[in-house]
Amino acid sequence: MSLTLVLPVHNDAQNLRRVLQQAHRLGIFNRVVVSDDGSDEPVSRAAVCPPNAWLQGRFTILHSNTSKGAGHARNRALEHVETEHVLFFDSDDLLTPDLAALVRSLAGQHFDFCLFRHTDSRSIDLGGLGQMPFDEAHWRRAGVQVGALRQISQTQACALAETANYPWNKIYRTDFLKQNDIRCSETMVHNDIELHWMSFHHGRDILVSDRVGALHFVAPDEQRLTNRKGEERLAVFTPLDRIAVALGAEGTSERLLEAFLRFVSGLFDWIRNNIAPPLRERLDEATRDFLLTHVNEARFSKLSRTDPVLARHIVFQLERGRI
Amino acid sequence: MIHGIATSFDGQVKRALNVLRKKVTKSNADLNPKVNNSLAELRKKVIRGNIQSEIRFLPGVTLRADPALKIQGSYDSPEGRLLTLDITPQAQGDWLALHLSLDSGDYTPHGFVGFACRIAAPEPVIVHPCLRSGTKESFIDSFFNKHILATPEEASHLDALPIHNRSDLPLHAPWRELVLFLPTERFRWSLHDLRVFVV
Amino acid sequence: MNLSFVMITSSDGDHLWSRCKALAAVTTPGDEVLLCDTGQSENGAKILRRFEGEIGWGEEVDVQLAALPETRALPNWATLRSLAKHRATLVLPEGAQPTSDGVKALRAQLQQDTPDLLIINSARKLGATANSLPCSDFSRWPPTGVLEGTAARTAALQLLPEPARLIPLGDLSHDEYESAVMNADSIGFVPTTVLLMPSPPAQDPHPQIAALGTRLAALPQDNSPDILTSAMVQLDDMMTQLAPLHVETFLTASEAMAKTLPQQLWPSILAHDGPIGPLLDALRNGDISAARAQLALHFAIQDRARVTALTEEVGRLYADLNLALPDPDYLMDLFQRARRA
Repeated sequence: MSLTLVLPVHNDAQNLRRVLQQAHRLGIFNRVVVSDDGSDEPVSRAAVCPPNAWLQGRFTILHSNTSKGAGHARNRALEHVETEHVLFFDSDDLLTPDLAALVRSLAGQHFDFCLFRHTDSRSIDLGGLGQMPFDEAHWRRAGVQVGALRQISQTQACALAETANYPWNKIYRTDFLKQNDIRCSETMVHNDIELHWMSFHHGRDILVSDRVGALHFVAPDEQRLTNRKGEERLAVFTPLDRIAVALGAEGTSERLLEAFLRFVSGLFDWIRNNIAPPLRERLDEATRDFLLTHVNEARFSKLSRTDPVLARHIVFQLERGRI
Repeated sequence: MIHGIATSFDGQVKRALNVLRKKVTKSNADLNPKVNNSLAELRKKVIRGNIQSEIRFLPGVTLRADPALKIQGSYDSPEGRLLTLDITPQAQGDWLALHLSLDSGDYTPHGFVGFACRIAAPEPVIVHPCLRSGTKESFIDSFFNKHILATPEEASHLDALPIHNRSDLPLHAPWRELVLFLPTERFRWSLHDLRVFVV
Repeated sequence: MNLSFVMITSSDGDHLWSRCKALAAVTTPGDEVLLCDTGQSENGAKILRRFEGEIGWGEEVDVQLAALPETRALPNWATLRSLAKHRATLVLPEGAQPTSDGVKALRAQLQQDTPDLLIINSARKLGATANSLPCSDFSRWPPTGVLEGTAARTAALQLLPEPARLIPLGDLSHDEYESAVMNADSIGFVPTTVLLMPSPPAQDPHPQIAALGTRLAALPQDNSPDILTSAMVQLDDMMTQLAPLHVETFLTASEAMAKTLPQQLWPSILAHDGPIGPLLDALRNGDISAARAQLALHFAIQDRARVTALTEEVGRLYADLNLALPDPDYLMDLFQRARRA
């Protein structure tokens, strides 16, 4: 099994060095692509490459003159991936030894992507060790909390699709992404949503492992995620529209669409709490437009029976956008 | 702030490893009974197979069941882990256990015998651990105070028996085992890691 | 008859807001609420102020903040009652809250009669649910009404000696249950649960059992039945609240006590209808296995009662949720209206 590690990075050379040293020690990556998203001081090979030239000739650094977001950085890197499989990772997170065991157990297996568990620093702060409770609840619902490696059904996939839309907790088959044109959105924020949902939409052979492959760090005040309160948040509707159209097409899973609507309904509320107040009216209007476009009467009728709480909330969000 | 957390985490791991290295150097016999070497071998291997009433996974690591249970099922040992058992008894029976052979040496200089493990199970499973010491005619079991409870959330378990001043733990024994008594009804159980210590 | 309620709050935990709501739901005009916040938690004071501002304690209810000494130490309840303006004062200790039905029954009893002492029933809260577990003396309560003299004291000593259950109406200033009972000529009983109390924190039972054992061993024969019954009821309650980690201590202490009890007490112990009787008997005979089996059986009964109560609560919540959710036709109607520009 050949695997590329893709690392989008922006002004984080020190952490980048650390994760590259980790990657070297694990010995599971054939190539590394660092995609520099317009760092103030461009990432240089000399600065980050391990001194023993571990990946001589297999280490690629891509530079972007301006910052266009991690989504763009990942997409650009994907164009350079030639190995069978790819792992997107963040420079400020940590790889784990269990990831190496997972990769070795995947050798020879055919799959579209393999979802694995992680430890969230917020969970450690709460005295636990593992994923956040909301993610754990979806794993429990899918019945996949225990098991080193297994294939999951469409029903289980629909439950797991509602987990946090991280790009770094999945090992992808490269051709699966390229042939289905699955990419990150090129927005400054919320750029992982499209990669996550389109993967679940197109995935037919999805594996899941209870191995903890990553240590994910969230700053106590979530500064890096929520310090963007401006119009850039409104750009999320473009990829959401694309996803909704794909999931709503005939022949696709209604259950996955319902899961997606549940996700976006929650996302709209989250954005509303984190966007600058003067922009809320535009957000509400955009929410209303989205829901009017993608929730027709037939779909709503079904929702009112399968998830009346969601149905009621959608009505509330429609009304809020009308005022 | 993120960097601060990561550095602290790395620093803690490094310090812990340094302490452990020193301890191992100082008293290898104390911390590392031979069974741990066998378990380390099992962690490296990737094996799978069908369940029978007696299976020797490795020298010193054996599953034994009351033949009356007529157990069926499968086991596998993923890389980096010890065992996953999926067992269904077909009839009633009395016992089913994982037996781990320990060193038979003199326990007099030591104070505690114990183990730490990490387990998980899709449905809660209770395992009863005991130290079995051979005697001239038979054997004697000393049960640990705590049951090992496995739930879907992977968890650690730690327990130790004081060695001295008890009638159910001979200081000298021709053989010893750590016996993990498993349920005698249908269950699935993952033993991710297990380390034994005599200190 | 109006009541004074003394609500003791030490922290913002223990569901302070729901306690406040439960109290506000039972007050009537003319009642008094005395808030006794020991100030250990800043949030506790904030919650009380917020509650008063947003919901309030009820129409024409007099609300006072009890002045505490500089040390913020809690005065004894007799002192707290002396601060109240009404003779019938219900003290709500930390975590406790009143029930609507219970307070109604209490008021009805007070309308009919005013004995020296009123004893109200209490039950253990099951978390934040509306369900509760009755105390171990639930089958011993006399019917609502007033008893006099020895009959009153005997009946009172058969119940759990919980100070929060006492409402002195005469000139009694005893916080301690037994003293209050022994000094009352007439005692009224309200068997409807008036107070919901949190379960006491798990604690080592050894000191309490040792103290009971010493007391029972020294009892003069003629005064033993009531005190013995009270001790047995307390032991029943300890078994009910026993945490698994204290099982061995409980058995050891009970065994030691059983061996020192005077012979003349044993017929009454064996006739006691609570779970402690058979357990003590087994220990007296050195049969630790039988004692453990009794304890295990008792735990199983308790757990089953808890599961039943919790299952009922979940069922109730589920039914409430279904009622609260609009039906599909109504939702569709809302949706169509919302879609129209």
